[in-house]
Amino acid sequence: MNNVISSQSFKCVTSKAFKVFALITIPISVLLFVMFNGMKDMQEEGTIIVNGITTVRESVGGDMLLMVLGIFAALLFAMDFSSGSIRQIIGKGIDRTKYVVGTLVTIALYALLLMGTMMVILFVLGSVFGEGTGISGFSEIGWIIAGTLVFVTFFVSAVMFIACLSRKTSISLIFAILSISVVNIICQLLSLITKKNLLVDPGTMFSQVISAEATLSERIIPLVSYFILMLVFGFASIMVVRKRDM
Amino acid sequence: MSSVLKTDNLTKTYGHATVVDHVSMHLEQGDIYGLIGRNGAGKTTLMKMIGGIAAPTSGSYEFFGEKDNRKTIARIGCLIENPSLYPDMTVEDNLKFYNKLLGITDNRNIDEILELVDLSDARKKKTKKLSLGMKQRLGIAIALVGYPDMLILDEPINGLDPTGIVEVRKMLLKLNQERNMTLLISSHILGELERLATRYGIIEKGVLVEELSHEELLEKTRQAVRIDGLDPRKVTVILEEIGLTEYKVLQDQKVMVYCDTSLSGKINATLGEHGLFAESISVIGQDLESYFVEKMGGVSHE
Repeated sequence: MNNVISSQSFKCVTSKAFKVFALITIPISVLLFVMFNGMKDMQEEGTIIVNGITTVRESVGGDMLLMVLGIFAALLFAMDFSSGSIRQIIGKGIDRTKYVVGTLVTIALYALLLMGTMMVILFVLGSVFGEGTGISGFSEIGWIIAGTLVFVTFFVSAVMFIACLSRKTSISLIFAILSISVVNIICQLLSLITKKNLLVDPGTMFSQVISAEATLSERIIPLVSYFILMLVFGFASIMVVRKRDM
Repeated sequence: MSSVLKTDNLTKTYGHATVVDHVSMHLEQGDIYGLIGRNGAGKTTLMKMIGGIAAPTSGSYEFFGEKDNRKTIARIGCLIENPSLYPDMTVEDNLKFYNKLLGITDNRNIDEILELVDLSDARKKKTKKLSLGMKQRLGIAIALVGYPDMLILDEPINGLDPTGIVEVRKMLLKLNQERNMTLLISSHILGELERLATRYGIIEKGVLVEELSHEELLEKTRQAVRIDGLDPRKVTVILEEIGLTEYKVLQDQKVMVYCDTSLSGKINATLGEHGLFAESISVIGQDLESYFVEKMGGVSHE
């Protein structure tokens, strides 16, 4: 599998899309910093409350990150199908399961890289121009990384599944873009369900009403949910790739 | 010679349609096996199954006498349908990708492969800027990564101009002669296959209708003049007199003369001058194309 990860990473690094998406993290980070600084005045205690997976999207620009990764996964994986490279890859004796898992791991590593870059930029900007980046402590960072990785790999495995089925880059791209809004809603609902007896006024920002302490224990549920979903889609992708003629 | 590929009743069905029907073929080391068949005959599906890209519905195949194909598939290089290249990568990077995929850390093999396929000058070119012939050669180069013992090439000269065809032919012959590489090639261009192949398999509607060596093919497509109803001893004397020494005496007073068939008139006249009048003098034998067309069902699809 190391060979698959190594070759897919090589493909990423040499692709134009990789360079473009990597550069996108800089303006996203700057925009986030500006946004957070504005939000800080709206908070009761002047701090941004981090809420696990949901807040990953809010604090690390998850929507954009997902969009970027979804498109990237579609390009990386679906192109192998649409261009026919998968035939040459499998024809080289590469195990199909290793190919799918290796590709997923490559994209997860890419997600980590993007996220890390954004966090560093936010940290630097916060240190130089503001009082903080909105990320409160190492445990929060750990949760964010874990949450994002699970969330992103779930999302990417779903994109991969579509790519396996459709074998078309365009369909996978459309799926990646459209499903982000659906995934957002599911994510919000799951997080709300985990917070019992909470009345949320319409228009209230989610991050404003849930404390970090309360969500710390409850974020495990959505995390596990996405992990299971990731496994389901990942397994489905493997099954499709294993069973289908290329 | 050792066995490279052996298929045993290899069959592929899609729904009720049988695309490949109980194909049993055998390739020895150093063979150049030309797979001939019209569009939809099952050539590509057969190659896909052999290349591990499609699963057989029934039957089996083995490489190098080894039943477990997972062990031997790495010794096979495939180019099925069009060469699939990453358009934004350079020629060199495309090969590096496959090197990494196979765990080859030393990239020096790329120089040799590029030299072999005559793409050394284009190594820094993006593949989207390559001509069709260059893409085809790069596809073969990718199949060569890992130094396989056998190459499976599906229509490798499809769409190439005459110069490109000659280049690919020379390259394949070089691989076969210098590296003793076994080649399984499908093509519509019969004349090209004739220049390359040492053995042929004719596939029609998924069935391997005939397998024959190059020599057998030459024999079957050899043109001759057949003389019926004369004493062979007298006929052969006269044939020798006019310099036709390649002949075969058959049963029932038949003599086959292997020569330029336009000489049939001269043969007839000479026999007449000696008072020998044949029951019939006929030209027999087919050209290569007619032979294959007949075997493939009798209707040319050109």
